[in-house]
Amino acid sequence: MRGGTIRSANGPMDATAQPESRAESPNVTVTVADATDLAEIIDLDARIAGYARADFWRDMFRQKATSATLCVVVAKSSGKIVGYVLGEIRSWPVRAPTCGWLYAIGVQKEHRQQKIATALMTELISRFKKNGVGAIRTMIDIDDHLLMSFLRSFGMTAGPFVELEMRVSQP
Amino acid sequence: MKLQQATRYAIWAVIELASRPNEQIRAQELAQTYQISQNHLVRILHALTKANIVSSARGPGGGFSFRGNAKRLTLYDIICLFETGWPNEEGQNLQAGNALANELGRVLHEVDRITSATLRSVTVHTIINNARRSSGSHPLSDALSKAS
Repeated sequence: MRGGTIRSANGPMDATAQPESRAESPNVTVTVADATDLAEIIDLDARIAGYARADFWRDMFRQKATSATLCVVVAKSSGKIVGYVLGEIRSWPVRAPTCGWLYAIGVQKEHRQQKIATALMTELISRFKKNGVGAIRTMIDIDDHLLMSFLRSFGMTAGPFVELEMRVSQP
Repeated sequence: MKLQQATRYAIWAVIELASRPNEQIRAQELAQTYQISQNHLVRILHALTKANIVSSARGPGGGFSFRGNAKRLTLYDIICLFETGWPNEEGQNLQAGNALANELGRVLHEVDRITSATLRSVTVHTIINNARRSSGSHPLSDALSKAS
């Protein structure tokens, strides 16, 4: 696994780099998101997830404005966003080299089965690879078998870390 | 995780058949590939046929073929057909009311949940693709035999 310094100048995490991945439908284009896409992404994400997380996306876009390692790619059909993927190259507190993190991926229900999520994921993996990332990680709901199955189809498996949590009582 | 022999054979058979779409494969060939009892395998293939995962054709050129959706059929689906009383929710079988038993039950449920999530998310298609990725040009049966 290769960790260490992340290349960013002219690298594929650079927002100006053109996506190379294609969805099955010729009407769908995969492109790097810009600030004008934020509202549409928040709306689509809320419909897919079933709950709104506008603050999270606003924070991501704020970070993206100054980060060369945070990447949001969207799929558009007839100019409307029908899918998104969010990822970042970063280190984390656990003893492990810097890796690529998949934070979120989603496709509008009516546009599924068209390999749009595959195109988005392929694009993110490609960008990670070009930046020297040696591993990609994500964290998903243990009961989201469909998403887990999708990620496994790319070769993702259980990693060497386990998420633990506990409830803390409020005062 | 310990699976019954019939379950392991069923998984092998389904994966082998799914990896060779549009082929009719005789039980004898499958049995030889995995060096298992042909009689036992035929009983398993009939159970898979009944579950609409496999279809069979009689006569010359006949045999068994995969008829399910490899991108949707998971290991969990196959295992549930052959393991009686599975998923074995061991964590729910312990006597409730006792704090120690409850805590042990919670731990076992945690294990069950992880096992279930893994098996429910690994499709036949993923097994075949990953085997091909890891084995390069080797036939799938070689890769799977090595893995077993």
